[in-house]
Amino acid sequence: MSLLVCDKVVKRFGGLAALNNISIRIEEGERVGLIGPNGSGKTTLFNCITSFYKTDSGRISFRGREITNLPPNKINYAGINRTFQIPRPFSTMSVHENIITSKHFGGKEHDVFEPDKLLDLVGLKGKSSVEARQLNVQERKMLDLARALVTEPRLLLVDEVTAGLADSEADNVANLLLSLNEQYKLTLLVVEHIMRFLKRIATRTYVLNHGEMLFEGPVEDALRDDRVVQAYLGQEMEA
Amino acid sequence: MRRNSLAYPLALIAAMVAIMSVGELGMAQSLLLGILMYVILAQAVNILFGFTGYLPLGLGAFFGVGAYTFAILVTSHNWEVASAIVIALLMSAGTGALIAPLTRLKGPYYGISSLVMQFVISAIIVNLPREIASNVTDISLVRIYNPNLTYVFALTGFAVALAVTYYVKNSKYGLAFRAIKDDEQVAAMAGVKTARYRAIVSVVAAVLAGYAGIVYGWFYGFLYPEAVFDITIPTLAIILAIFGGLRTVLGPVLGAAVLYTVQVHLSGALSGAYILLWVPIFAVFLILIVLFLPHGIMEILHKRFPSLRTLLQ
Repeated sequence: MSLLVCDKVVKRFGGLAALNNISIRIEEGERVGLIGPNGSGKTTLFNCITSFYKTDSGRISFRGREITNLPPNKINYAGINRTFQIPRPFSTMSVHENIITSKHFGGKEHDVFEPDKLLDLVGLKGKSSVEARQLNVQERKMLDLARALVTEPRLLLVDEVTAGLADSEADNVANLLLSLNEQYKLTLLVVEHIMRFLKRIATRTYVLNHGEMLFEGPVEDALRDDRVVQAYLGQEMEA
Repeated sequence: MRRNSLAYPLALIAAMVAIMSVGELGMAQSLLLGILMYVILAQAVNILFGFTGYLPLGLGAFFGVGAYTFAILVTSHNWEVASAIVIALLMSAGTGALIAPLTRLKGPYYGISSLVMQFVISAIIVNLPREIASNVTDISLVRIYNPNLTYVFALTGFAVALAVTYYVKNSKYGLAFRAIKDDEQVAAMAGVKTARYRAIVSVVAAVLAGYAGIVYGWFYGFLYPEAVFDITIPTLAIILAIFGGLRTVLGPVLGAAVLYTVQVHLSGALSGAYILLWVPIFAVFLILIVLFLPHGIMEILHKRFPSLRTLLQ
């Protein structure tokens, strides 16, 4: 049984189809990329999977159970969590409060991730009592990541976690995600603009363009595919 | 540390009991009762606005339901005070549950719609059929007038309001409320059952405000819709809470003690045609507070007396 299946997912904004019959299938333990030019629907798909947007038609199921348009807390309980392109910490709470809120309300029984251990892993150990709004963008991204991980998801949706990070920081994040994938079979679906990072993280990728599925297959092939290159023309495709 | 910080409010309550037992205090007792009533209201504001981010311009809806349910049961149906109190609190809770869906709205939209609900509820109460309420527009509760018992009742409400705030501040409820305030969608993603917690906060605030309404009706003894549903009551409660310091247990107590006393003396001094001048004066004052002291006087006390941290938290 596949872990996540999106079957002909449609999301419209007014007359515009932001997602048009998008189907994806991810197996447990996989590392999958999701790329495409700006406005192609990557974050929209994340928002549909987590019910931040209402899916107009199609079906999303997780571990064989339909989760289409369930409230985000139930998506969490099912075993999915996410980060945000523009980080969204609980800004008036301390770093520690951010984590324990997520742990308390969304934590699972296994207790794989201890809040302190997680903060250490993402490099926020010394910032535990700092109010989240005082963090810089990189730190906020790491807080987003820790807050998602503390709920012990089976599937993590990572939305451009490297944007704005220095190369060495991006490498650390990549190492962290890879080790979580290896140790806990954490399944990853990663939206990414930095191809070097994507090549490290993902074994295969989906490519969206204007809400349509343009390509699916190995990352290397995607970067050589004419249609993909065409779609990215005029936009920076960072090596 | 936590056990310690609870000791101070308890000492405060003991002091108030002592003040009451001195006997008839006339003016002073009336002032104290007003303060207690406003502390209860300000804690409702604290929980609803301070922790969860909903500006309760229409808090008077719950206040009025509490006051009128109590008064109507006692006058039109000759109920005992105790059972009338229980039903009045239940009615307030019910109103809170009924209005809870408004918490889907955020920011000014909640504020305005809750104010509209206050107008709707006051209209319903004024137009109650005669079988339910024989005379709504001019109720007298002299039959049950008992200032000492009212004072004990108000003091109990004060203690409960403080305990509730303390609990909210130090439990998962505080985390859930604050998460909803900061970002409701993300709170849900973190696992918070947001609809449930929004309903809880609405009901808790409604019960507190309804309690204050009962205190009002019982003590002042005469109820007119224009007075009970006066918009200046929730407005003053909001000002007191902000002035004292939101998301603190003692802030609203200090705010009410200081500002309500000022308000009473101010409207006393501004007698006659100018009596309502305290409203614009307070409005200017509120603007200054928000601009220069967004965390209220608790913030000053925090900075001046770091050694009192346990007390001030």
